[in-house]
Amino acid sequence: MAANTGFYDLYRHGSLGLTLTDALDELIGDESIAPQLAMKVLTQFDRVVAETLQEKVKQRLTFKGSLDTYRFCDEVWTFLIRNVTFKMDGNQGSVVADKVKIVSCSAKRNDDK
Amino acid sequence: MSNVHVGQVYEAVIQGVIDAVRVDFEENGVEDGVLEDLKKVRQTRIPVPVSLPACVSMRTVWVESELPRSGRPSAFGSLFKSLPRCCELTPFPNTAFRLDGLTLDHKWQMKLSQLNVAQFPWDPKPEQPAPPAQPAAPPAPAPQAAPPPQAAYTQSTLSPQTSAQPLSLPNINQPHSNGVPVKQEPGLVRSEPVAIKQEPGAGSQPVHPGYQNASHPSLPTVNPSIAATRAVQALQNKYGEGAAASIASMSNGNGKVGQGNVGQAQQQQQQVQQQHAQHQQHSQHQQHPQQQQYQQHPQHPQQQRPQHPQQIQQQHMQRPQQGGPQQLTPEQVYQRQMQQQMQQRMQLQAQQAQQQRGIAPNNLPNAQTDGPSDDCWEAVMMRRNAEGRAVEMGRVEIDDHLHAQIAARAKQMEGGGLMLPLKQATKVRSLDNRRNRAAGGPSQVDGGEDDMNDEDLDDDAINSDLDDSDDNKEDDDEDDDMGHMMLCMYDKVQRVKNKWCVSLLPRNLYNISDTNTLGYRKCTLKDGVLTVNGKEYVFHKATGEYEW
Repeated sequence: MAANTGFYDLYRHGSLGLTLTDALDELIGDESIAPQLAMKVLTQFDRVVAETLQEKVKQRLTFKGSLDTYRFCDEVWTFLIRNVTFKMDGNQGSVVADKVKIVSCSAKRNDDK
Repeated sequence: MSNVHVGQVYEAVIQGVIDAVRVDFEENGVEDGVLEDLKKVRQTRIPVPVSLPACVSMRTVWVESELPRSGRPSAFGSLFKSLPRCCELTPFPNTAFRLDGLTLDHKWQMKLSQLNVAQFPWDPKPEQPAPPAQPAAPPAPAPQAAPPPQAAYTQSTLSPQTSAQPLSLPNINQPHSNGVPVKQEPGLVRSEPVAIKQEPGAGSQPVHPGYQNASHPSLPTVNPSIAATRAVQALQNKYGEGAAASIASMSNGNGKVGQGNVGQAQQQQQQVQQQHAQHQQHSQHQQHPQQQQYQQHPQHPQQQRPQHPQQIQQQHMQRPQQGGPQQLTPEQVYQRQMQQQMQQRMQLQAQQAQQQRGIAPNNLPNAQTDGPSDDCWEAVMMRRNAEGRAVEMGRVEIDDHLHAQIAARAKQMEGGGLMLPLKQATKVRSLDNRRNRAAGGPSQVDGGEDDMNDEDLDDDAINSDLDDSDDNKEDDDEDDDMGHMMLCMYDKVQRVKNKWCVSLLPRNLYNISDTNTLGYRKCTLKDGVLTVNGKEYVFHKATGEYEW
């Protein structure tokens, strides 16, 4: 899961990563950039996202729900939780979702590398 | 719960990525020549009011200030997209200058905005339909920049084509590949002149591209020998066979020039013969029998079936000059071949030829899809060697060989077998396939893959249907709509043994240990991105509790 640089490519599956991948695909399709360059961009993206989330984000979040499925494979936890309630640490109310998938990589392993 | 921070965070990520990859873009960018184009374009750029979003201004400033440096244009060019495509993608068609901003980061931002997962800094305020970020000054460079990347790319993409030409041109290689047969039969040199004369007919015929390519390179080398060729012909016309000796000497003089071209000339002549068998036959019987014989014998040296006593005599006369029993055979072979060609022409037949090709001996290359090629020569040589060792190489085999070659040419003329009855066409193909498979040829790769596919589709494979179907469905659901998903790191995922959830799991009242092992989980997550209900949230730390 971890790239050569020691960062997960986990976040590529988020909206930020998907849009970046989309944009890169278009550029490749237009032959504006080479696929190898796109891969470099993605690895940089892995690093930048991890660092940015670490440094710039301060919010705390709590959530509760009932666990539908859990999976632990290759140091990756995958939870499927139903009837989840999220709360940020302000008092801004909560968000409810009937089904949320959580994909989580080990923070320790990331730090080690 | 608000996600006001998401926009800033994402912007920081985008900017960070763009900064990080800038060097890579430069390294992979356009050539220096693009710089000139860029300068020109920049002079013609349109002045526009500027209010730049952070990302755009960053790029713009960089472009403006550092363009003069030779290294920059490459990165710059790579960053921008071609103009027309940009137009399609622009979500704000009325703001034409947005086009220039269609770089990687802009594309990225636009796509993010379309997702509408949060309010981003670069998004236009709700009241302002036109995004303030419209880069005015930077826009100009964009259209300018567009051509450079394309040019650079076209160069790279074109280069294979240009390089492919030399590759596809057998002429360079032919002297080597054909050199062997030529050396074996010095007499061949003579044939070349004749071949050249007859080529015009072949040139007008639809010929396989490979041959056309081959003919072009040969032209320059052939020309020098034209004079000699004509001299030889004149000699022959005047004195017939009596001039053989002098002709031979002349041809030897030209040998060096001719040898390189003999291969091509012969190949082309073969086509010519196929197409104008009749014409050649006439000419052979008239005045140039020797020359034509020479042209053809390299391919069918083993055939020894003299048909006309006259020609036998000719062979005897020429023997001393040619200096080898091998060279005698070629002449005879030619006559044999002529007969074959007559037969073929009468039966006509691509169809029969095809069938025979299927039966053809294995030293015909299986993968030969482009008609007779250099490989043919190899095959001939092999057969010659075989003949040298064992005379068992029968007429039938030789005939098959001939048939195969003629068939290939016939197929070529008729457009690759399109006119064949479906039955026969498929029959031949299946034959070839079978042979390839038996020989362990390259087609085996396909076979392997097919097998794999079959296995994949096998319902009887040892799998857990429950796991597969359920998980896949759920995963697909989650992934497809980008619906509710959280990507994060975990610090701890622990089972809380002391917290009992009797009310939630009533059936486990009877089995307390089960409750303990399954039960309640608590996890600590960090650095996460959460997508819920179409909105995104980022968090530094999250704690979750849930029962299973």
